[in-house]
Amino acid sequence: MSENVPEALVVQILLLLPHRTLVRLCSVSKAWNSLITSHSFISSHLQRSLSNPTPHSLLFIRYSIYTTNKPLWHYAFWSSTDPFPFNRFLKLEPPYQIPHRCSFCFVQSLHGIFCLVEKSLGFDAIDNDITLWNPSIWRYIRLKVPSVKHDALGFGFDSKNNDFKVIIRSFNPDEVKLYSLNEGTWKVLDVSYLQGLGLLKFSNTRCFLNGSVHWITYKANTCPNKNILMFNVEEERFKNMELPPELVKAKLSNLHVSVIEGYLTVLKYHDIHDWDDECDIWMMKEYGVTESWTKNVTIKFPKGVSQLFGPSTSAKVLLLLQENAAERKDGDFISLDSFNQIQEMMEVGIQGYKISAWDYRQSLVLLDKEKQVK
Amino acid sequence: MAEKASESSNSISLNTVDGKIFKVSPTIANQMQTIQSLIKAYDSSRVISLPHVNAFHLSKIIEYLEGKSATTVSAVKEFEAQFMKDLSLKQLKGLLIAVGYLKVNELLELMPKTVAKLIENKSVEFLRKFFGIVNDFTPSEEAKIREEIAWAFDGVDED
Repeated sequence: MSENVPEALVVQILLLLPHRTLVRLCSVSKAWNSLITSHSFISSHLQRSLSNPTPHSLLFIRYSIYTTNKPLWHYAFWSSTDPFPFNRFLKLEPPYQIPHRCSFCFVQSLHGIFCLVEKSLGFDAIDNDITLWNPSIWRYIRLKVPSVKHDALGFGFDSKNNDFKVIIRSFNPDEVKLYSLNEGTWKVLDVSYLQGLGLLKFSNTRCFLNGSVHWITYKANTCPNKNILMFNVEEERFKNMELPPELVKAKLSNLHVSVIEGYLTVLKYHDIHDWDDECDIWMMKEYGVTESWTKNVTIKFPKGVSQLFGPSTSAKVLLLLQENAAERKDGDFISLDSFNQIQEMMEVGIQGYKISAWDYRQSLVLLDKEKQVK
Repeated sequence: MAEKASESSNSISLNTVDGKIFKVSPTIANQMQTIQSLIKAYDSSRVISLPHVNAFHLSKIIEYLEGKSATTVSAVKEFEAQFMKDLSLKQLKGLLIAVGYLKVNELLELMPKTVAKLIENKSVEFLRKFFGIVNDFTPSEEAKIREEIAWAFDGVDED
């Protein structure tokens, strides 16, 4: 049979292939290269993968190996299940060597893209360039921005325009800037809504859900003094949402905003007493309805938990367990089901310390961009 | 039973490119969109010629349509898996082209998935041959691209 498969069917097949195969297939021919690296193909491939969640979870892990001067960071993908083709563990190169006395701060992982910011070390750290990095296809773009302190940073996906957007709020200068990956440019947004709210202190954590970046904000001498501030990346508009009184009372630094099981979630850490930590998990059961905030459970951490997070791909909560850092033991994950029963312990076997992990989804995003990790 | 009888009297004759005549019920024929529109356009008693489909592919398509309609949901899944397993990659390609031409919607859903799974780890050279694509890169262009994406070449199957 000398006939060829019609192009429409070829595209349908290609859209079902994993990112790694598709990158390889860029070398088939010029036509395939421009098809696979086109924005519309990359977007369709992402849409497909978002509507067919993979049953196995993939984690991106950062850990450090101690050197005399400063921590040396390492990166890896880790999967609990086959068919991950790298014996569960794949080491990754950093996007690039960052300047001396700087460290990457991980802002958010979204659809295969990490938003990182270069922070200078030391007191009163300044924020430098922002990088969008897709470790699964070895691509990044580095966004030159003025070195100022960002009071809030957010990263979101505009599903209407298949666009990734970075938002920066700074008080000095008093402005809000928005970067669009599709446009490749920054624009200055109207700051009047935020000015109306006064001098806000933002949480160190943020999350992305239902088209909006969410932060917890604090403003002294107001009632309530804590709220959730949202920025919708499609409408490019801010909005406020209320927190339940129990969370308003807590210290801002003890509150972490996150997404677990698809719900907007606030983790309220109790004050830390030597490896005996507790955390209340609050979920907004009906998005946008203040009355639906529910305290789900209080988790008593087993000894040595350094991180708690909820992967979007499964209905489980993960605890990253690390024995006393000084002993430099390997890290492991504990997976919690229904938030209280320890279901399984997954050995990560990473030799290092200061391990942290993010839920990750491989994608082709940035394959149409020039820059590459070398 | 009465329906079956009336179906057989209404059966539609399909003539493949290699000259074999198939008689199929309207229920089966209507699941091939191309044939459905041909039946509407012509007198149904006429033999419909299919210049792009051979007997093997048509018999497979009929086997699929009969097999999946005769059983329960879980059995359909099992039947589909076995149906696909019995075909070589070369046969799948030919069948896919026939299915594309006849517009058999269910197979148009199922077959790309099967093919994608099978070619996931195939080499670039294998896939050029499979899809009939001419490599139009110059050797230096190809070498440059391959160097940039060398990491994606780990774990490729032997041809």
